[in-house]
Amino acid sequence: MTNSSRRRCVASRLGRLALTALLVLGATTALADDWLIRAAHWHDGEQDRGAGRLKVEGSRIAWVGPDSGPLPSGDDVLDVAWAIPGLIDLRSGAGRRGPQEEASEVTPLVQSVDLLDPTSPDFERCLRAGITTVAVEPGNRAVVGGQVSVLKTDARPLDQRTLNPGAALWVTLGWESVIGNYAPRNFMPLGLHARRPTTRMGVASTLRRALELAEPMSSTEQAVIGRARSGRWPTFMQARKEVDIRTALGFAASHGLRPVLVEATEAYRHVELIAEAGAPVVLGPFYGQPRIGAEFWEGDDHRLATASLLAEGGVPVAIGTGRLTDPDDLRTAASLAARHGLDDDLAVAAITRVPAEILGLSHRLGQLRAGSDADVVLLDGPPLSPGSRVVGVLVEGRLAWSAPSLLAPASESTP
Amino acid sequence: MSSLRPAHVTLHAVLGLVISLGLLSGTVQAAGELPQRDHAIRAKTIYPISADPISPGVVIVQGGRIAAMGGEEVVIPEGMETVETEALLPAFVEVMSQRGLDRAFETRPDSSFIRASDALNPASLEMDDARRVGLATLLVTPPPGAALSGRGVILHPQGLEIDSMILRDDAYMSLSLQPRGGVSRMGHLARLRKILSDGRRELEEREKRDGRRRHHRSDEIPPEKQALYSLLEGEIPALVDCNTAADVATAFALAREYGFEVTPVIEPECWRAIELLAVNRVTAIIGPRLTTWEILPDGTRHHVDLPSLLHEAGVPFCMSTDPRELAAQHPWYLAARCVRSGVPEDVALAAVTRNPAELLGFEGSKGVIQVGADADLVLLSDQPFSGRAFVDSLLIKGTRVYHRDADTKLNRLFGRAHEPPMLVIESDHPEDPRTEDWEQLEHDLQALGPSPGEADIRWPAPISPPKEPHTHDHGEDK
Repeated sequence: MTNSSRRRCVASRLGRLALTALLVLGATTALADDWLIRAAHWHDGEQDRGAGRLKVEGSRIAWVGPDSGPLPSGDDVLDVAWAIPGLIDLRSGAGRRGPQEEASEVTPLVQSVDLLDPTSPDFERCLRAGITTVAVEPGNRAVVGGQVSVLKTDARPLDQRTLNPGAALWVTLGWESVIGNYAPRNFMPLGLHARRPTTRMGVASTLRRALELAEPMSSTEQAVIGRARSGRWPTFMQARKEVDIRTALGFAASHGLRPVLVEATEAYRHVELIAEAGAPVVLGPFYGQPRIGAEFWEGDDHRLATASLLAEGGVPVAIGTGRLTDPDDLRTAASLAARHGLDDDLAVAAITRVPAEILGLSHRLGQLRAGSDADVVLLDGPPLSPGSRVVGVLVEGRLAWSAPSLLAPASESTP
Repeated sequence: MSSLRPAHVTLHAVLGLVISLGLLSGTVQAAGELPQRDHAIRAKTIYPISADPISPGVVIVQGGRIAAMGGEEVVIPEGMETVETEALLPAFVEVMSQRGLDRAFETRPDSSFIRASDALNPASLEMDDARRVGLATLLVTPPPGAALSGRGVILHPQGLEIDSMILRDDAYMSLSLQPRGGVSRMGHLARLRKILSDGRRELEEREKRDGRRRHHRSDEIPPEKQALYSLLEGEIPALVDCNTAADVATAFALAREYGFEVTPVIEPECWRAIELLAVNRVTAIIGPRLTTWEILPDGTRHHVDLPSLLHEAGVPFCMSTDPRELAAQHPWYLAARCVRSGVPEDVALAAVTRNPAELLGFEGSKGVIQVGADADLVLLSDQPFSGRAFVDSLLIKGTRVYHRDADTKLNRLFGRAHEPPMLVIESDHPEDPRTEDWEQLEHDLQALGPSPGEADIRWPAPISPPKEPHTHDHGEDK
């Protein structure tokens, strides 16, 4: 055991040494982070494009093209089976530390980036699973919880890798934001939770009061609500049950929000309504086994085919993890969605292109095309196959993580 | 005010009847005892586990056993029913399962006398799920809640009452090294040792008194001691729940001290004890959680991927599913997950078939496809590592106990088409009165003018607190 792990350590150190040597070599020529990726298959976020080459210059993708012609010299060539865009987890728990914010039901200024521990190993675990961008929620113990932060998962300081600390407003509908609340009664201490909403109706009314600026708020907080109501800024609405989805879409229509339904366990009941509202859906996590007609837990009554039913209805579908038991769950969830009927290309898009579009960052993320960020995941097999491994991850042109096997052929082919 | 349309009621009743009939017939077909029939299975790929995959291949089932198998050269007898499938594997075997246990969580430190078979509910949905994912043989143990948590039972997840399902009762003793209920680790181990030592002393006293250690007439041994004595006599092995590497060492020390066999159930945190596992030549049981990380003294993070470490060290292992997880409930997913860690495909498949079968003493009869073995087979709709396989049929001793087409629950989970029809209640108010309110509110809000600070919003720049506090006055009002 120890021998083998020591071997691995040595191997990874050798890998790192080789990488450093390569970088130093590269630096002496011209650009530090130029890579030529030769992939037997590459998926650009839209579809599988077959064999191809991707040229990475600096932090961007310079060009993409077919795999033909002689290999140019002077590039670091990464020879892989599959290349796909860096995965985006819209429901990441990476780096979260400490309890959730519950000072008030309406906390629009709370930004989840302030909750994060940038040194958390979660980010490395995400990278190893191919997740290069995460959206972190402020938490679901308040009705208007705050703002969703979007950041990359590489090892740079937090401020450098934060793409947008306030990418969307977060709203929790349903039961989760009222857990622990109680109506004031005799002999009950009048604590924080005594006068907050205790039912779904209460949650809806609190949200309505917040959207209509009837809750006590500072002007800066009101500005955030105004921004959401301008319709130019997405509002992530966690709505699991059918009634919550209906409520969410109702508020979106009446108050001019741009809704993104999150979790949406029972979205299969409202495909037409969601399609009409033009709301994308972020599915996941999937709590355990579906229990038909279950009232035990809000997430129990999902259907295996929800993703494919939504896609058939014309709803953009993204998938998130929601729990950080294993970041590989993101790819697994997409793979299961494909198993349950979602088109393969849409399943890959659900963890690359669609989340980027939801975040309004499709010019930078989610697709492999000239000019977008060089966030590339290199795999040794098809992305939806549960047996394929991530062998390398580039974040903005830097090789942020790689398996020792990746660099061996590349260093041989460099002159 | 509101009227119930008779047409809808009738439709509802008819549909309800149809659905309940469908459900009923599905249950009968999926759960009832089908007559055992001889048949042939033609598969695009057969994974015999004991040999290399055969593609395409044929298996002939006669009298509940595999009568012949091989490539296309195998002759299917005239008139024999033939089933086609994409992939054919031996039915999956799981050790350390808690499927079907009804509220079994014993906390008395010495619960050695309890039996999992007493808490099993044959009607449990987890038994249905076990068939749905292709599990044909389970070792169900009491969950590790005590020092000695009781004995397990080996069963087929198929039957109306528990006796017809059991292959072997009192199969394994479940031992836990985790202190619980405010007891320290030292206290827990002291308690465990005391139970075991007391048991051994009693056995020795019996030997001194009667000249032999065991009495096979059960009335001479207190019933609550029988299980403990058979553990100490080495008659039943122990499954030891280990959470740290130190626990693995403790497990082997206990085994040496008290003379029983040990099968460690390990978490990824036990990775430092893998050499110990290899030296002791045991089969390890690993749970659905396979990875962890720790910070090494030099500050680097060490990622532990348990299956690959076990494979490198040459330790055979079995994998347990997690019935509560969407992916990890499937044995084929666990095998694919091992492949992702770098384990060869045949080793990964053996971890959910042959290894657990051998551990339970079914060497050559379960967990493999070979002539003479039980016809416990799983017919998959796709290759096991494709990530999109469904169990089409599960055979136990040649009898089909699960058929996907008759699985009403699975079919219903696939969409809205199977939702029960809803009653349509016509309302005299075509419009929701609340809508008007909303419009009025919207109108009032617009009359108030833009919300303060709205004009300052730039997107997608992050919001920063304004330097000067905004005032609430509106120009027009003043």
